[in-house]
Amino acid sequence: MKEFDHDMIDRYLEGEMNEAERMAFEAQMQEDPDLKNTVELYRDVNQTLKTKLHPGEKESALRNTVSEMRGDFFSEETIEDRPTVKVVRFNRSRWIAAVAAVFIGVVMFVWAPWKTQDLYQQYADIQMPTFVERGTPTNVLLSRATAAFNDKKFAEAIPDFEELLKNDPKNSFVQLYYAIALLESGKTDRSRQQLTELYNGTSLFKYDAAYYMAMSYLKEKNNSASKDWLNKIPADAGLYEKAQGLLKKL
Amino acid sequence: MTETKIIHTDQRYINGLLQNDSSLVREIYQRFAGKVKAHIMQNSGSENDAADIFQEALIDIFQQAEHKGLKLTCPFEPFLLLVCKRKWLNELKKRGRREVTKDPEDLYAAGEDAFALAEQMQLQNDKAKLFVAMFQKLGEKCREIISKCLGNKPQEEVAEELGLTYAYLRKKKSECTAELVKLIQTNQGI
Repeated sequence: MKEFDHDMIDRYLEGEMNEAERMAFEAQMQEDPDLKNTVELYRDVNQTLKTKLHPGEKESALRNTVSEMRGDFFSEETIEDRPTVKVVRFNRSRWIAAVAAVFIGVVMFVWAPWKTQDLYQQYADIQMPTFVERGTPTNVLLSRATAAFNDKKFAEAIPDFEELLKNDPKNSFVQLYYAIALLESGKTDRSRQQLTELYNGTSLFKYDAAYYMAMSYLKEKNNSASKDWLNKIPADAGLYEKAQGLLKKL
Repeated sequence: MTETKIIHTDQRYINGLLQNDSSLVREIYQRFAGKVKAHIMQNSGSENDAADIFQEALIDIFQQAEHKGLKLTCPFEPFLLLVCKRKWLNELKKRGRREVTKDPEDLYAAGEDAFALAEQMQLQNDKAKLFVAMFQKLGEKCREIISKCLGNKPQEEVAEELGLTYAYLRKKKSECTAELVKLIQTNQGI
């Protein structure tokens, strides 16, 4: 970038040059496009700043008119007032905070320092699906058992499961959750007995049974037995992904 | 720039802004505020944001007409919508949002001229913003001198007000402007 005589430029733009000076300066501009561009920039800066620093009466008058009418056509609702979609404006620091929070969340989830049997608790956790069909005594028992199971009151659920199985010994759904409740209450042997029976059958829950067999060994930190059972779960079973995920960690 | 083109009859809206004609300003609100509101609210803005953008766009158009001789060679509506849309995109960027803004449907019919005029407005606005930002970087004394010299008072009066001789004021003003121009040149295109 060339340096030009700023006094000359200023005097030229202010119209302070005499005729001879002005003509000489204009001739110089004709020959040097850089000088010409710089002079144009000076002119532009002066003009633009003049309108920005001293807006003038016409502009302030229009601003008044425009802002007086604003309320007739727009409500004063701001984004924070919108009831339906609440959008939080994220500036840079909020983004950093949000990313940090997610990061900490992920770290805590993976590391999970409060969990003593982390893998077991992470992989064995299950909720019993609820079947809403009222009236029959069976359903009263089943929904009570389900509620207890889902509240993790496994010992409470066991008598109900046993009652249900007395009436319907081949109910594989009840068998599975009964086995899990036994496992969770520390009755591992009886649990395995149920699970083996399920696994050897042909029910829908065959591989769920294999999975919970693996869980029973995982709980005892018998990783190799746990792996054996996980490996019995074929790729088309619902729990395959979960089993494979656990296998990688063992 | 537009001498050879035919001025659109909607130039009357621009004249209305230039003359602060309140019935024409009201007509602008009546006819176009709804569309601008719809566009901004569909693109994560509130009604208040829409009102701000609409108001600023009218002032920008006034400034462009007053200082740069803007003449409308297309209908006012697509031009105004484009100006508002660009302003809103800028605002979203400033807020760190990256949404892709949906185009207002009315823009599909907007002619080349509307885009060209809106583009030119945007360039002028960006330039003015750069000039002001660089001006803010100057020392306090330079800012005072430039600001007063660009006002409407005769420079002799300004010199007296600042307790300087006229010659010294002229010298300082030219030095300060040179510094400002240099700042602008080094920061152009950033």
